[in-house]
Amino acid sequence: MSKARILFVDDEKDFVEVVAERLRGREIDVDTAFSGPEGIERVKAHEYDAILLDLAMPEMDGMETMKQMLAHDPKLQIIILTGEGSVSAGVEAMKHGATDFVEKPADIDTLVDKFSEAHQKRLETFEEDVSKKMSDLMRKKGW
Amino acid sequence: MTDSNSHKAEQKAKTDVAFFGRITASVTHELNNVISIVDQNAGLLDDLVAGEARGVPISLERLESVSRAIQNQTQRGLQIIERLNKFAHSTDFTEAECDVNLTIGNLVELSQRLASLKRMKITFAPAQVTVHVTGSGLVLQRVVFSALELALTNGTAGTTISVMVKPDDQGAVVLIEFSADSGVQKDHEAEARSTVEQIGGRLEVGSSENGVKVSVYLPGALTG
Repeated sequence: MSKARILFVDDEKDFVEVVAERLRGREIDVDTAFSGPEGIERVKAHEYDAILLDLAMPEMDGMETMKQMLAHDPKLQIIILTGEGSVSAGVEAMKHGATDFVEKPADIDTLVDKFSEAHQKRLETFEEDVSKKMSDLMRKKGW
Repeated sequence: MTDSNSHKAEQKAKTDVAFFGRITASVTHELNNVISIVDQNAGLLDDLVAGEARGVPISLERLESVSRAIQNQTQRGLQIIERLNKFAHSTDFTEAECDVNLTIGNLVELSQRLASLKRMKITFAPAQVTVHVTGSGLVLQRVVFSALELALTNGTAGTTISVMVKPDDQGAVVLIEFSADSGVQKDHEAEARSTVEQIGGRLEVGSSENGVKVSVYLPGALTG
């Protein structure tokens, strides 16, 4: 089975680097960005199974970053990373299109499970899209 | 206590609690980041040990870098806790002799994360002499924070806010200078002015070389 590919966006560089290293050790392909605008550029240039996105960032916060990412690709699966005790912020983000949320410090196995689910869901969505396109093509051609 | 005084006391308690919550929410968020980094580095050590058991040798350099990361975050965490502890103890007395340099210096450090979220940073220059005012340390910080918030709300991202303390004939003056592309919104200014006047102080908003200059004149004895 192919690896899950994710983008991790958070301005806490030390946190991003250690989590990325641990995820890579668990067969997750991790790309990193340290600001909202940098994350948006990555999303425009690459395809990811999921985005792990911190809510509290300088320059552009996670909510605005998420909105711009979803405007580029509404099917993106975005998992919000919130501070402890910020469940309401995570729920609010889900109302605006986030797939899920995780509270820091974030259990590594929970993250791996969520990324594996996101990878599987993206594969299924891709297969459904191909199947639909094939059906449409056959209908148009009268095959 | 009359109904009017009771209402005022209740309002003051509410604003004190709201200010306390604003600062502690921000600081504990930062503390959570510190704990998260330590937690993940501890997890990384577990991963390295598990790898060793599978035959992947642990490099000494890698161990040293994990240890350094934990030490750095521990130092960062201890500094945050020290500042937060001083802040918490500022509620101990409603009538105390407050060292304005130390109290506002600590407030500035506690506010750095809020500034960082706005892509700003705050520099602090204490007065060359010790300056005291009497009153509640918490109220002193709340009042100065209301002026600092003018900079955080109206200031230009990517710039520096400068906070200075100077002695004054009456008590002390806290000067806050910052860049603001669109100036200071009038309703924000009115709110800060009202907060400063409640303790018998005076707030002036003018211009400086950097843009906006807010002067908070503190009386020798904070009232209200």
